[in-house]
Amino acid sequence: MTADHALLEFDHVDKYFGETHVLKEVSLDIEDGEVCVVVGPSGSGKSTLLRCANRLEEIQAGEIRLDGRSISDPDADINRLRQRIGMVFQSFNLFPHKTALENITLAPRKVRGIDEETARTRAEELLEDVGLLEQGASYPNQLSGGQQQRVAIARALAMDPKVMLFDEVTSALDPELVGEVLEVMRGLADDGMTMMVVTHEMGFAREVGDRIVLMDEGRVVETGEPNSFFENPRTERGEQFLSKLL
Amino acid sequence: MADSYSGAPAEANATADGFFDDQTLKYLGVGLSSLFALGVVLLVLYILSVQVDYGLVPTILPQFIRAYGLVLGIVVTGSVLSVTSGIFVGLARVSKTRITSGLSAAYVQFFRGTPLLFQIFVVYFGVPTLWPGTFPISNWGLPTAIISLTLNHAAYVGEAVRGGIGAVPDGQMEAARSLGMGYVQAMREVVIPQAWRNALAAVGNDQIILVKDTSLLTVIAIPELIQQFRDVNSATFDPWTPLVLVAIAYLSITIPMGRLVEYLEARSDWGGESQ
Repeated sequence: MTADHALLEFDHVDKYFGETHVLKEVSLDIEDGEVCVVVGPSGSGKSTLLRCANRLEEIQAGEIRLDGRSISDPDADINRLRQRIGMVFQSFNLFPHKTALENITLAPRKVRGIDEETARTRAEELLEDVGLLEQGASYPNQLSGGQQQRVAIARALAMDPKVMLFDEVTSALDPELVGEVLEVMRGLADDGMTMMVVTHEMGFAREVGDRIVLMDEGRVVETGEPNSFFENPRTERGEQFLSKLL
Repeated sequence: MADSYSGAPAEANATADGFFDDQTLKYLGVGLSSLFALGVVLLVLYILSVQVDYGLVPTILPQFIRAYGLVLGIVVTGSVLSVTSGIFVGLARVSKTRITSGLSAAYVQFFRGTPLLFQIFVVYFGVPTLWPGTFPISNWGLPTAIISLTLNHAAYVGEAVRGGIGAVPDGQMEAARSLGMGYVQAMREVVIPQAWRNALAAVGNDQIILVKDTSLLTVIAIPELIQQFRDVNSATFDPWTPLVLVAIAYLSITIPMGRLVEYLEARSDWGGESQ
């Protein structure tokens, strides 16, 4: 693919929940290999924007494209497109009736039709990558929150996505478990994965992010390099947001 | 109950009106329930030793065994049919298609909202008259039994399944869909296995009720267990001998069913209690 378009494009996206206008003409391009960190106060629409990117939420106007192909088009083959978009949730959402390993192999086997042996081998590699090879036979209930979230990341990676979406993935974790999940995400970023990350972890945003996007009241109010954003925000809203963090 | 207060400070160890402290209450409870249990045991022993005519048992046993076999047959058929159709009633109920969920809701309202006895009469007496000409099925009693028990219990199973699906967090469907699964695939692989575990106790409960509901079939002269009681009692005026046989027959079905449900629940434990 030549770079006449970004990998993930939000093109004048409008989204309503009933009467509430939650996304207002949001445009945002995420380039191949970029780590785009979306920050902003609660209710600013950042999680909604992320959920629109794999159509867990429908948009009312505009278009969202992955690699030039529309995701938001009602005729889009969404099941096919979603295989290219990994999603990790705040509440993990592991399948409780499946072991860690089965959580990872389920979609490759059932959606891709990959044979059990191959899926298993790949799942074990992924478990090793997230430091949980020993936990393959454990059920989610037997794992800590941090371990569950790492399995959830491995589960999403098993479909070989082009982009990974992270929706406040450390917000439900005990503070001492946040680090191990961020560590896995940092490793992914270093390997060149394209990532869109909604988070409140500003240290992570600054260190790992290629670009910071600040959202407020359904709009993108500022985007910039992490260092310039955190040192010298260009907008008043950016300054306000940063001042509240201290 | 008293145990739940064991961590409370000593001064809180009396009820508000000050009559009993926890310890007294505990002894009172143990005493009363023991007394009650003793009474029941004595009564049962009295019935079994004095009231039951063991000489009559060999004479009436064959008809009870035939009735038992018939009830088992009705129960197995009714269970398989009502659980299978109940799952579809439950799935239809959570459908996003209005007509489908509406029809399912109406079905449940009707079959849960009218007595089973009424439904048996509708099928047994009502349906044959709707047939143009002579009703072709001469022995309509057994089909009536299966049809009415299935229709009635599919409604209850449907409600249990709906509740079971409702208790599965939305995030499960979202996670499955975000991995590229279609709706049907996500339901089959992710939602229904969890919903089934959630619904198991309620479905098991309903199926035990189905066993006991076969007793109503006496009103359309199905030769089930209660029918045998009436038969023996009217011939001998002995209530307790046939009653004891009826009790043994029902309990020998319902108690193992309860065990089976416990076993199935334990089997889908998935690594222990949720956090």
